Amino acid sequence: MARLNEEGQWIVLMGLLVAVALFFLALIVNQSALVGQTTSEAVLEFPKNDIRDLRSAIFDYIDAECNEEVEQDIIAISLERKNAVVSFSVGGPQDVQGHKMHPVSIHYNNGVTAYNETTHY
Amino acid sequence: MVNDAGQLYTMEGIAAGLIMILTAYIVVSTTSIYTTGDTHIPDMQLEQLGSDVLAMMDTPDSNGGENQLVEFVQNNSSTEFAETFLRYCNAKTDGTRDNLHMSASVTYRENSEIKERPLVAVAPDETWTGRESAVRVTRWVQLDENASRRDDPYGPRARAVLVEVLLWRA
Amino acid sequence: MIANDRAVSEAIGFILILGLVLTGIGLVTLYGYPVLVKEQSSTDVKNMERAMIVIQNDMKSLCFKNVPYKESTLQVSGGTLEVIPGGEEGAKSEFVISNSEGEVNSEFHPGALVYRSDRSTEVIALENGAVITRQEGSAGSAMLAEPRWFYDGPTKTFVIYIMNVTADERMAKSGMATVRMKRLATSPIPPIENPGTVKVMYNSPSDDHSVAWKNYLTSPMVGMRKASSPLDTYEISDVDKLVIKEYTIEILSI
Repeated sequence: MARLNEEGQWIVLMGLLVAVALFFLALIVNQSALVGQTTSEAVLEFPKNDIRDLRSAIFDYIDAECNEEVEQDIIAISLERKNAVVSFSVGGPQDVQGHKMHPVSIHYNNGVTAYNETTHY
Repeated sequence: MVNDAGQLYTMEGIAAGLIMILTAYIVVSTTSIYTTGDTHIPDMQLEQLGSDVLAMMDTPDSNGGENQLVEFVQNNSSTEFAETFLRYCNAKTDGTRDNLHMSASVTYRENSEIKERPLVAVAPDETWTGRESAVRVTRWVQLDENASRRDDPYGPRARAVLVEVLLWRA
Repeated sequence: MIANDRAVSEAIGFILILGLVLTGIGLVTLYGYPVLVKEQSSTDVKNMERAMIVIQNDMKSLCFKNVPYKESTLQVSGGTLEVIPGGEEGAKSEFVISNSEGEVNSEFHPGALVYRSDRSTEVIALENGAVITRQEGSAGSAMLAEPRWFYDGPTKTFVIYIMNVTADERMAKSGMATVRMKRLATSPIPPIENPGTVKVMYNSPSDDHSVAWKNYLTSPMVGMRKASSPLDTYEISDVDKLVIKEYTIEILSI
């Protein structure tokens, strides 16, 4: 007559433990699904190059003796093509450590990133 | 010696293996997801590359030297613009060429209207299908007041125009 | 004949073990499996929330970066993704923008991309550049990713973006989907100087995202206030320049 074999019960126990562990692992993996903007999307959205380019455009504008029309160009095209509100003002030359420099204040806002700078050029 | 002892163990092993694989499959399939993930990484790289190339073209080789980008826009030199731009951005460190394509336009203001003028046509090399994952990079260009040599539509006054380049990998 | 009770304890032991096994199976079926199913549907919803944000970013590229075409592949599982084209008919929600002197642009019907979960009540919508989540049948809603309206204090400029979604027909999809989008040319709306007080009314007859839009429009970035009347109207005063940008995105296929 076949008897119930009581050996190897630890194998069954281990199987049970592994099953329970897998179940909880599954729950944890589930919790790890992140929702939100990815890094590359955030990088794409951040207007680093736009701001740097705007600064150099404003410095070029100062070099070209602050043409009123050029200022209008920059403000209008920024709003139309880059969706950014831009304003800047340039003061008369001041003496800064022996150099004649213009005080410049730059304001940039595209709804996500706002940038304000006061500098001398 | 081959005999038929232990056949039950073999079957048991196979059954156990199947059960384990099945369990793993159920667990993985219920929890794993197909994420769209970082689909924007190539876009980000391409945009940075394009911006850098435009910055290079906007920088004179020597102090007081000529600025390539301004010259191209001023003279409306579309072929030279495309050639220079693609030469810079297709250069790879191992000497081979990358497969990038571009088109460009210039945005300028005429009184209260914003107008766009093509600088490099969309499909000079017949690769544009309209379904490319393209990025756009821009650069401000300042044109000096110079009535004599202007054969462009921008007029004689000093102005700031925006060069927009559409860049894609074929 | 003498009754033999030699195997009795073994039989009892067998019955006990079988009982334990059956109880175990019962418990797993009763509690374990529903947990797994719930987790799966919550994963599907999370996955879709993420996919919607990816599509929203593609739309941002189309509109704000002037890229002509974008596509992205995503897995729509545990529900269906539906395109509701904007325009006068069929579109559910509308935005009415007006200034102190009357109506600037009477109505925008932006359309939407909507995901409905099969197993849960969650609904995710991409409406006018915002990713909004809500529970079917209950009143609340929340914004997962915001659009880009803003009021710029120093220049007193108020910028409104309208992103219309159009398609030749209503489309729906489950499983692997590739969302192909193209920007259509729209005639620009010239900036309006000195509009005084700008009013925005959000009107949504059936799909109710009014709580999400209320929280967004009254947030510090936009800085509007709830107007006294009519319902779901928000206003902002001290505006020197009102900029309305309207974009139209055609969904070629999903």
